[in-house]
Order: sequence, then structure tokens, then C-alpha cells
Amino acid sequence: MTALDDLSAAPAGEPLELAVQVERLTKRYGDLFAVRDLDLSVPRGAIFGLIGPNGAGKSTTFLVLASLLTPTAGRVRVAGHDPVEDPRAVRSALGYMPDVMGVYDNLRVDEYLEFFAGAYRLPRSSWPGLIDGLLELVDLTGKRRAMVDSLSRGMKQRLSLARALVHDPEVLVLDEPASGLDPRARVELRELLVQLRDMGKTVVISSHILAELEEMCSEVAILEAGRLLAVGSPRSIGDQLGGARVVRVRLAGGEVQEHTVGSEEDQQALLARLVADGLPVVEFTETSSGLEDLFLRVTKGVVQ
Amino acid sequence: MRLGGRPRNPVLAREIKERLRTRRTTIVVTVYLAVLALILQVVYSGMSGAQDAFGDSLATQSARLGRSLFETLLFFMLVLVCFIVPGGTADAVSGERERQTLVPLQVSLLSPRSILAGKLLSSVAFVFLLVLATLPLLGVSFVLGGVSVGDLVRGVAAVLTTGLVLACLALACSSLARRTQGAMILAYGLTLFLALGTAMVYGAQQVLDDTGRRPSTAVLTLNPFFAAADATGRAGVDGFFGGFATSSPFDPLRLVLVPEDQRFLGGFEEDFPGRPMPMPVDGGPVEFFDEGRGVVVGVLPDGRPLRPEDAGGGIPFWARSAAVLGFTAGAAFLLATRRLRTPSNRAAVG
Repeated sequence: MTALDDLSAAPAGEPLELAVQVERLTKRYGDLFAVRDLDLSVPRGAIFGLIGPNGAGKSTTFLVLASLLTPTAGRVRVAGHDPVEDPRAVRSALGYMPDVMGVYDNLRVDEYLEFFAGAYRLPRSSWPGLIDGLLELVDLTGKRRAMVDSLSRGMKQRLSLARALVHDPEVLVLDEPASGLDPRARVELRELLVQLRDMGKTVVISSHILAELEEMCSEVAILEAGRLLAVGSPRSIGDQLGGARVVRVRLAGGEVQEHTVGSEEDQQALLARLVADGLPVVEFTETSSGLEDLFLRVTKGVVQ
Repeated sequence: MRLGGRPRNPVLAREIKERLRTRRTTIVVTVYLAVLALILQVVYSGMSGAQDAFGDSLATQSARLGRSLFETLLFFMLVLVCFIVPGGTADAVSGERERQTLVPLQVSLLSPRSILAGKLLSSVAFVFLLVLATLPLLGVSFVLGGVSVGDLVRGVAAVLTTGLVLACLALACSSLARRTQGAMILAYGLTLFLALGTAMVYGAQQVLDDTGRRPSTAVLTLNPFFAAADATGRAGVDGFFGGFATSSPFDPLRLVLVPEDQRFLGGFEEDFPGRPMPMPVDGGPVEFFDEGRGVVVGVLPDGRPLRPEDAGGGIPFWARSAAVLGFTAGAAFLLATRRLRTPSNRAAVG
């Protein structure tokens, strides 16, 4: 029995362990494989990051999750539903934010959200309270009556997120939500996603701002050319791939040393040895074990 | 759709809201009315200033003028609808794709049919707005006479049906084309085929057929102008070959639909209650008012019916045309629905 079978066999009403399950997903356009044999499991309430260079298959995977694209092979479950067999159930449970936010001319912010509330068949009586809540959540209350096309890019992204949340989905799939945002808008978005996770939402996100993913994601998957290269917590990926960590040690008096270690345990041992040797350690910092460094090495084929 | 209040279809509600907020709508309605008012003025001046060559009574002259104005307005309403509807609808899907707003719609709970129905109804509602705006101009012909409420209803129905058919075709083009420019070219190409191409095909049939027989009018059932011509009047009754001379752009089309040897050539005053007396000519078919059926029917000298529908059992040309155009529109709508269905094998862009 596969993990998917376990998932689908769960009794109705019982909370599911996995919000998203992807098993041997393959999407092919002629001879070109956009995604090949991809396996992913996203636990409920997680923020799961999908990392990869352009053409890695992130958006294709998201389109399959969002019930827009039929996979060539493999099985997918979103909140327990199959996007091909029951797209309506998937759409009720999933909020999808594409990488580019389209704008309707001549619509105000509240009208934009009202339109999507109607598109999700929500009762009209619930719209005012719902829109108030969403605008407050994404910090756009002051822009309620502003025209959508007059908003800044950051505000549009937040509005797009509010749109994806309009039907209170349990899973959010966000394709590059931070692209093109200034540092402040990125920080605000990150805080918002953490807030959503705390509200019980499962967030699947792709981004090029890897440092941010590292901070907020409980797990990440690295894709290249449609294949999964590594999956796990950012730290465990480093361990899986045997990546070296560079540790910067500053001693009293200003002397700086750099040490290369393999794992967290090696770091602990290094610090213990330095202290045991009586060195006056005033700073002990890991400098190049981040996700970005790992990503660059992995996707360059350094680690295969 | 709901009458009164906001429409239930969110796409329709949004489309109407957006449409009414753009300056383009105001410009289109203004230009549309200006063109029709100018045509009305030209026809009115031309006909009211002309000498009455037949010595008709004042009532007949007034009715002739009213009828001419009505039919000319109707004809140009159709022409303008052919210009406005494809242009206003061809961006329905491709425009959403270009604005990157299609995907959020597709991942909502709206079915492709709901999305397209909203777009379609919005286009038809705009045509309805144009028709409403034209009513004061059409009202002039009522004041002058020669036009019944039935004529008006049939005329408006012809314009709305034409708008609906063209909107369905433009929707299909919009769903097929990647870009709005391509959709526009395709939509106007199809409109041109319906309006002119079908007439050319019919003409070619006539030229190529050396048997001397009248070619089938089947291809003309796709032409909304011929349908409107047949629905609003018939050669022999309302045209210049019949009850009284008019100068309607529909007259040549009606003549095509009725064979030369079967056009109305005579009748009696009591056969045409409320209508001007036609000029009787010996040896031709006769039309008379059938009180039992409430319609004007024609009979050939040998007793055969002038047209199939005159026998009471035939289907009038306009009804056949409405069925063919309705089927075409339905097929186009279905095609557009299929193109918008997800999940699909190809990634939606936008």
C-alpha cells in the first residue's frame, strides 16, 4: 500500500496527516520532461519550499496541484482529493497564487475581492465581514476603495494573496510570491505567511529568495530539470548532501579563523575543542552553509 | 442572470461594471447613435423632399416614408452590430489570458460555461443597450406610420439574435487564439463571411449553375441580413414590388429570397386592411389577408401557394435561418467551453 492509498483510506472527517502528496509525478511535453518522477509529501500546517532554477518544473508542479494541468503519469492528492478526478473539491480546498498577478482595470480593491467571493459561490451576506477580515490580514484596509491598478506591486501581491484566501482554503500554493518585491514588502510577506501557518494553513511556496525560504520553511525540496535533487529541512539537506560548512571563529584580540566542518555534530566538536584548547572564542558563526550556497552547489551539478 | 439587482453570475456583474466604467463604451454608443441619426436624417430629407410619382395619398406617402426609415435604420443597426460585437467580444478570453487573469478564474469554482455565459450575456446586454438607445430613432417611423409593433419586435429580435450569434463566434475565436489580435482577425473574418461571403457563395452558385434553375438559398440561412429581411417584411407586401414603393436596403435581399416569377404583382384593397393598396398587375400571383391565420398569404395563378409557408405548413426562411444561426452559435459556445476546460494537457497561460 502506498502513502497515497493510506491518505485516501483515511476516514471522512478525520484530520489528514498530509496536506499534499505527490507520487512519481511526471509531466511531459513531447520529448521534453517538465517534471520527472517527483515525490513530495507536505505535512499539514507546514511551510514547504520548492526551490529550483527557471525551468526546474516548479510552476508545472503547482499547475498540477491547482487542478489546471493533467499529469502525464503519477498521482497527486491535495487535501485528500485528486486534482484530475475531483478538481472542484481541490479548488475548494486550495488557494493558488500564480507568479504574475493579473489586474482588472476599473475595479476597486473591495470589488475585486467581492468578485472572487462570488466566483467561489460564497453567500453574499458573508462578503462584507469576509472582505474586512481579509483586508485587515493583508494590511490593505486603508486601500479598500482604491482602484486595483493604482496599487504598488507589493500591495498587489498582498491583494492576490487575499484573493487566494477568499474561500478559506486549507492549502495555499504560492508561485514566486516574493518576486519583484522590495526588501520591506518581502519581510511583510514573510511575516504574513508565518501568520497563515499559525492559523493552521499549509503553505507550499516557491521562491528565488532562498534565505527567506530557509528562515520560514520547515521543509524544502530542490528541483532541477524536472527532477527532485533533495528534500528535507534546510539543515538536513546539507547533511544529506554531505555539504561542507564554513565556520568563522573570532578570538579575543581580533584574530579570525575559518574552519570547514561536515555536520552540526562536527561544529559542536570544533567548538568544544577550541574551548578545551583554551582559545578565547568570542564569536562562532557558520558563514556558508545556507540554502543559497547549497542550492548553487546542488543545481550546478556539484552534488548529484 | 437575475432581473433587478446584481446579476448572479459574477463574471457578468464584473463585465458590466467594467464596461460601464470605460470611456470606450460612451464613445461606441455615441458614435453608434450619431451614425444612425445621420442616416435617419439623410433618408428623411431624401424621401420627404421627393415628388410623389404615383399620386399616392398623403397617408400612403407618410407610411412609405415611415417604412423606409424603419428598414434603413434596422439595416444599419445590423451593420453596426457586425462592427461592434466581434470587436467587443473577441478579447473575452484572450484578453483575460493577456492580463494574466484567466488562471485565477479557472481555479475558482466557476465552470467554463459560467465564465463564458457571463462574457456572452455581457455582450448581448451591450447590444440590448444599443437597441434601447435606438428606440427613440425607431419611434420616428411609428409617428409616420407603415410600421407595426410586430415589425418592431421582429426587427429588434433580429438585431439581438445577430448580436448573440456574433458574440458566440467571437467567444470561440477568443478561446482559440492566443492573442487578442488573432482573435479579432478571426472574429471579423467570420462576420464578413456571414454578412458577405454567404451572399457571394449564393451568387457563385447562380453563375455556375447552367440549368437555369434558382439555386438553393440554404447558404443564405447563415446570413443575418437575409434573416432580418425576411422576418421584417416580404417582397410583394412591404417592398417596392408590392404594397407600396419604399427605398429599403432589405428589398434587394427579399427579391433574392422570392423567385422572380413568384413576386407579388396584384391584389385587392380589402385584402390589405390597414395597408396601402397595391398596384394590381394581371397574370401574377395574388396576395390576400387570411383572417383565419392572421397573415398575408400569396397564391399563384394556378392555385399553388406563392411560398411554402403560404400553404400553412412550410417553415419560413427567417425561422430556418434562426435555427441554423442558433445551431452555429451553440456549436461555437460549446467549442469555447471545451477550450476553457481544466485540467488540460496544456498549461493555461495567464
